[in-house]
Amino acid sequence: MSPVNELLATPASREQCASLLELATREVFQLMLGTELTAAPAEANPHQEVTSMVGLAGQLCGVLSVRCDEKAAALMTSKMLGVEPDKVGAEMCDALGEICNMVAGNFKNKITGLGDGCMLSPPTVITGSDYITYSIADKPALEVRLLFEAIPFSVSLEIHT
Amino acid sequence: MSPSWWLPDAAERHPSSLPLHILTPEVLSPAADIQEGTSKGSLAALDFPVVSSAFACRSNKNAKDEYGFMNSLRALIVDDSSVMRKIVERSLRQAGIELNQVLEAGNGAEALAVLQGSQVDLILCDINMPVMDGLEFIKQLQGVETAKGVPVIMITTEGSEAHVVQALSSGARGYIRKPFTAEQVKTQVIPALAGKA
Repeated sequence: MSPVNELLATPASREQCASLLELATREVFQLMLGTELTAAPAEANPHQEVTSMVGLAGQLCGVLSVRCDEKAAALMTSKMLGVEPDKVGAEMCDALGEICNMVAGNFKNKITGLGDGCMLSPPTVITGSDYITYSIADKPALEVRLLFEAIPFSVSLEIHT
Repeated sequence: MSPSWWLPDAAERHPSSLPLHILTPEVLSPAADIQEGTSKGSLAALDFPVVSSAFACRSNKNAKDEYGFMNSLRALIVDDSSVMRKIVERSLRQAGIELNQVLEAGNGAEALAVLQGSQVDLILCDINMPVMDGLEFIKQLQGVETAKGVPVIMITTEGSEAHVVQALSSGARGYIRKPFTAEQVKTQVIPALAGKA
């Protein structure tokens, strides 16, 4: 059984996988944005105005996505670049793509044996909320909801085993 | 001959530091307490700061003061993300490295073109990029006369052992995994520059 399938085999191991995803996300925000993320309340429902996605292929196949509203996306970009949020322009998509890329890379590097066995695609960023994605994943997505500067956002991992 | 202590597991104790090699009495604090016994051997209790050999006795100075070669550096940052290029530049400055000129390229091919017309002292390069990736770039760099001996540090999300080995065997002097801190950049860049100097 591959390391990923082991991680997803039971509810307990899925919980562990979600914890690794949350840790990977927290580390990226702490190191690259200088921000400590906090847990989102259960009722928090992030707006999906900016969606960044990175594909994974190999031992782990799927899509990792980061979803947030425009205000959060601009604030994330401003923290990455060290500029005021109102000065953020076209770099926003680039920044969100890099965040998603780093979360995906950091996550896979935390799973033993996956570093060499999983490739990442270049990130894709969608702006706007009027869209529906159809996933070929055969398991429910792992989702982590967190607060960035009190704004909810989500990180989800859809896996095709 | 002066006594010395070897700490083979120092890298595990301080994973963010360079491995410790030899500690001589000069770098030990005066708090060392050595009790000699005639039949039970000797007991030494030592209290000393653990620092990497590269930074021993220099940690309170900033990088510019410590290293003459760090004045007016010209750096080339290669990454397909303009945001990441800016972050890398900021990290270098935060690490105390004075940059006289920063050149940017979006992929390996662009970087080779930049090097046709400019000389640099340091190259920081991503691996996964369109057109020409970082590993191909570092291979082709060996044929660029103006870049001979210029240290290359890879900065990438690809943290797999195979990628690290491939990058280092292709000529990279260091490897930084995203996400990173300015301190991690410093830890990789300064020894690479020192090696060049």
